Amino acid sequence: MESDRDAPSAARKGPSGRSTAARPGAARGARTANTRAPEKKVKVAAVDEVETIAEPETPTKVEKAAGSTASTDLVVKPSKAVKQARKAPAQPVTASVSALSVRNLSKRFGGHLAVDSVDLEIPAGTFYGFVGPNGAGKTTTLAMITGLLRPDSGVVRIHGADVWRNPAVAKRSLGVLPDQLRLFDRLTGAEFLHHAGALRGLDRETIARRIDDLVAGFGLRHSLDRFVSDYSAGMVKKIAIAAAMIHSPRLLVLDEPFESVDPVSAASVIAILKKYAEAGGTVLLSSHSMGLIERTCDAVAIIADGRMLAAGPLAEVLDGESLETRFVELAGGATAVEGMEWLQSYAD
Amino acid sequence: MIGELLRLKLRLLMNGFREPRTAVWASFGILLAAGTVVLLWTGASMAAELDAVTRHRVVVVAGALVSLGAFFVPLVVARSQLLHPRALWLFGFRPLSIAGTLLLTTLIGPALLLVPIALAPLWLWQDGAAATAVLAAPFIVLEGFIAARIGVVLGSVLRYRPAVNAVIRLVAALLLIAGLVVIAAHLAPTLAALLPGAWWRTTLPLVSALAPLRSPVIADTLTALPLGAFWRAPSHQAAGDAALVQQDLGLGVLTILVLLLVWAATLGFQLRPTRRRPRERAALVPGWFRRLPSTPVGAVAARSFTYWVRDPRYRAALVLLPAIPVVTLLAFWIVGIPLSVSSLLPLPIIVLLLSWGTLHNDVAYDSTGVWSHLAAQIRGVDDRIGRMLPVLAMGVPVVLIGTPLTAWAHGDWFITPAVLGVCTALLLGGIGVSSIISARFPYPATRPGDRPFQQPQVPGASGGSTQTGSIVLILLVASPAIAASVVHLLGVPGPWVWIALVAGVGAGLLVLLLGIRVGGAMFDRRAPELLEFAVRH
Repeated sequence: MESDRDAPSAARKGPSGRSTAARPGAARGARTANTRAPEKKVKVAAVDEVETIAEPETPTKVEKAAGSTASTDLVVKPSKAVKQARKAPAQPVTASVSALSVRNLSKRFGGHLAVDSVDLEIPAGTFYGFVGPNGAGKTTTLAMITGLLRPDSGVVRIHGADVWRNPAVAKRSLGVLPDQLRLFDRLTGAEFLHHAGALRGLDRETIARRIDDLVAGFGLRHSLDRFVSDYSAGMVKKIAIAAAMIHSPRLLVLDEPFESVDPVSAASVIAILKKYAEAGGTVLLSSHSMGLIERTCDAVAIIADGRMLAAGPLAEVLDGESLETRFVELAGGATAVEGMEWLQSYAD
Repeated sequence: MIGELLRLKLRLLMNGFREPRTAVWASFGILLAAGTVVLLWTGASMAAELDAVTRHRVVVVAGALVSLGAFFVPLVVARSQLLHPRALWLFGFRPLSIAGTLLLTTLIGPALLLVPIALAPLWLWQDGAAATAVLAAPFIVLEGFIAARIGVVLGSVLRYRPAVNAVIRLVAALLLIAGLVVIAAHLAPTLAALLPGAWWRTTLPLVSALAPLRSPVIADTLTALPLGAFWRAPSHQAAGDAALVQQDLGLGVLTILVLLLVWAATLGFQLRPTRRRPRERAALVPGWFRRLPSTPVGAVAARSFTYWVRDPRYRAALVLLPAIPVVTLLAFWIVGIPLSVSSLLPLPIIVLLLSWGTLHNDVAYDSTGVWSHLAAQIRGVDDRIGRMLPVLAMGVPVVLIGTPLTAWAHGDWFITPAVLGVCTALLLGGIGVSSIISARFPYPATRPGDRPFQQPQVPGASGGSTQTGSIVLILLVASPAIAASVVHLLGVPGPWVWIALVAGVGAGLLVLLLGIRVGGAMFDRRAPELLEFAVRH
């Protein structure tokens, strides 16, 4: 069963649709469950296709279901939001909500199918790696997941909330580091972080406190008064990651976070992310560094030519081989070695 | 224990001399003080020669000036308190004994100078007047001490406000100079008479030039100041007016009481319980973000304000604006159109360019940076309002200042409402229209970091039709106000200027609200497309 936080859209769909009101309690419940039992139930995406898309339910049934959930160790406070949810045809909060659930995501640029019905299921608390050769559709996929690029088809849900139908709720629990998009780099580092916090509606004290923590963690303390445009590429990445985390999201989607970041900083950022994942947060990051993914991630997805080739826990995907070998094997890079015999006969 | 504290104060003072630079300044100050005392004493003995009225005025004004100096000199010079009341608070003193101790320790220090100064009148007065002067002297010292304490407290606060401090220095200097000039004016005739006859030719014009300053009004006002009360009591005694003497002494005591109250208030402020220092937290909020609330609107607005100041692309628009009146007026002058007509045009053009200039393509100016708005899913309305705030902040003063200027140049104040109406319509209407256009029809703009006048290096539309279209729309919003103004200028009788005002403000407000709503809704719907557009260009 799948919880759904898309109140507005679902309400419009009527009683046959899957719907609850947007309620913080739901997410809280899911989170407690996840932190208590971080289940690593990741299947290879192809297998994991036919998940129950919830049947229509009557309100009475819902109430019963909600009651039964409450009787287990899930604490759902009878808040106003929950009362509203009970009035509407609603669904109970369940522990098995994925942090990220992607179904059948596609994007076509002109005649070229950049992303071809990608599926991805990431349980909360996972440190998830996303790899693929250049032009495989990684950035496009991540942009669609984070609500920056409108997909042609498919559904993206973040902790049950549809990114494209109910962005306000979904994006509240999402932190984003996009690749190759500009930052407002005429702000100083401090201004940039404050901008990010204020955009998320955090109050001044919270922002100041979190900036303090973030700059300590990311080693940006002495660069706060400089313009972001004067930062080195690695520092820009670091401050952008810091900005992505400032509102303490449940899911962090980071596109190439360690590109041109020095190893020391990368190690401290990874340490921060690991701690975050241990506390129930979810990280999805793409990288070209197979070694890094293999060392740090619990699970990995491999994409090539817009198709998801494999996705699941590291051990399952690797199947005893190193990620690099497996990656080249799956992405079919070996063929390029053939041909080009002229390169062996030198000009002189 | 009092002795202990006096020794402490002395030690603190002496320690100041251990630093060579401070020692030099302090020695200089001591010399200056000695000079002042000598000057005052000799001046006092010489003032006996003056006629009664002049003597009264000179002595009282000089005395009031000295008392004022007891307040102003510490205010300007002091940057910290040697013996801070808080330091005594720690030892469990009661507030009242802290007050007394501080006042007493003032004796050890520069304020000691007040004692010889307060004794100066003794050189002047005889008999009964001298007795009154003896009575007044301790009060003068006490008044000076309290004033000095207040001055020190304010001075040490002013350390954090350099701008206010500069103003106060200026005021203090002006007051001192004004007082000295008034005294000099009164002394001038007597001094001139002392000089040899050959000099009269040069001194006479000077003396007569100072005559207005000798007017009784000025002198009476200055001598009636409360700070001069203890200085004028002996003078009144010498004139034999006992009632006035009592009145003076009463006023003087009242002044001291008021000063005491003020000082008690500053003491209370200094001894107040403090929790953490909010100043530091506030300082952590950088730049424009400190001035605007920590909300999505505030974030967008603060970022916009910062960019208007920092980004050359925005700044170029601001630099161009002042050139507009010069160029238009020059062009019309060459063509031969009278100033009364041509003077009406620069302000509307400035306002139009301000409200339209960068705002109608503001999203494109962000380039792909707009993703942060999208990732935070801020409401389109918030985005629109945040972006328009800097333009409003600049446009409203321009309109308010420019309207009277335009009417003045035009030569008829009656035109003011019409100008205000047209400009308001152009400002608000321009912002409203631009808010919709920038969310719906972005066109490639100069990229961040490029030179402001560099054309964007992209294929496709350059936005010419968007520019023309949006300007036409803004002019349409202002057209009722413009039409009414033209009718007024053609000389048709009727309340046309007021019609122009109402039509302009009404249409402007309407379009502004419409722009926020419609533009906001468009931003909500099209934000991913706007980002995609920015990625492609």
